[in-house]
Amino acid sequence: MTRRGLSLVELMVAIILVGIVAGSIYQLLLSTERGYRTQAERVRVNGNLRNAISLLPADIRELNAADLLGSDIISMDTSSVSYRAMRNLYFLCQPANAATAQIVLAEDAWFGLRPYDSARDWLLIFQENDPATRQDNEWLRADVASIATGNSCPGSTPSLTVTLANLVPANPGLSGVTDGAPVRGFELVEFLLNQDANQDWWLATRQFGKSSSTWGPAQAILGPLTPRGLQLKYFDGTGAVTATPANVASIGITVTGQMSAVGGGSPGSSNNLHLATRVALRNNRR
Amino acid sequence: MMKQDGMTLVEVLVAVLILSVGVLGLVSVAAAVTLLIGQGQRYTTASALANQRIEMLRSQDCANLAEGSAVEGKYQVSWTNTDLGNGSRILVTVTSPQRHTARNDSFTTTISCVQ
Repeated sequence: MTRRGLSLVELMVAIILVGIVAGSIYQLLLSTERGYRTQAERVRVNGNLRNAISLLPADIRELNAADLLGSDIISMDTSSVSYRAMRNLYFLCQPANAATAQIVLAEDAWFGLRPYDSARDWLLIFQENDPATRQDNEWLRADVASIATGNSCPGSTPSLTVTLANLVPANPGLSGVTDGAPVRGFELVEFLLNQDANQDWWLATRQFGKSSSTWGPAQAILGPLTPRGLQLKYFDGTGAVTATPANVASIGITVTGQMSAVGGGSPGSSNNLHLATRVALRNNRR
Repeated sequence: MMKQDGMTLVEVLVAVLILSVGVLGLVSVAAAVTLLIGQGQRYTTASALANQRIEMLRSQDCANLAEGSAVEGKYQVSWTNTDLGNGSRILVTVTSPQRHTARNDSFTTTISCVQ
């Protein structure tokens, strides 16, 4: 039996064929890898955006922009908004004492995120005025001069006796604030788009310091976003865009996440992901 | 030289047939998954659009509520309201494009109109 091996030409053809097949498999592997990384990046950015979209409306939903004594929105801009963020809710357990500027709150029945914090919170006090109409109801603003705990509520239940300071408006003061009136503790909060030392943009928040009377440092919450990654639009009750804080009835929020270079992102790239929502202010006067 | 037994043409054809049935099955699964992902994306967008519209209606005075429709990209959003006396029931319908037909998703909510 004669045994023939492969000729050189046959061998070379075989090597070239194997090379082509191996090369295309490698290309396939590479593009799959790239696709996987892009998708992982999209999931990350999308998760971030979804957090932003659930975080911002939580506070904004609770605002009252149309109160007789002024809007809960302090200032508003396309990429920042500052407002009175409601943190707790108490109720008076006896009528307010206008002469001493004191209110007595039921201590064991408060609601909200956290109890009143004198270092951060101011108060809004509901003034009923004429019980026969809703048109004259309003929220008085006040700071707290002192707080004393005790058992002054009906049935000797725990109470907070609050002496108010800087009541706005000072006149007619606490008249018309009835037994059972709600009192809300709020702090001043701003959401803004903030650039860090690495030139990245973040959704950030900061609080207004009561004692320092200035805005505290911005705390980044999530990102990175694009340079125009937070876009806020303010609408009045008819759905038209408004620039007056007292007329705001709903706020449109769009956040745009910055994809990293791995995900094919650059500041102006269409690969950047965005999410939009709209939130109506629930506590507006009607 | 040694006698070499190859495969007959029929054998090759049968093998190719069986292989292609298997491969086609895999391909159709991949196609179905792609279709479902696309559908899920459209429904998510549809519910986000409905949510936006409901928030817009909620911010309006009850007296100004009226039915209407709007085009948002490839989606059509339409809404109607039913007066309940001290409230209003809102029905938002989002029509999302499909390959051959269109799909309607309905969302309903009630807005308080107590004065």
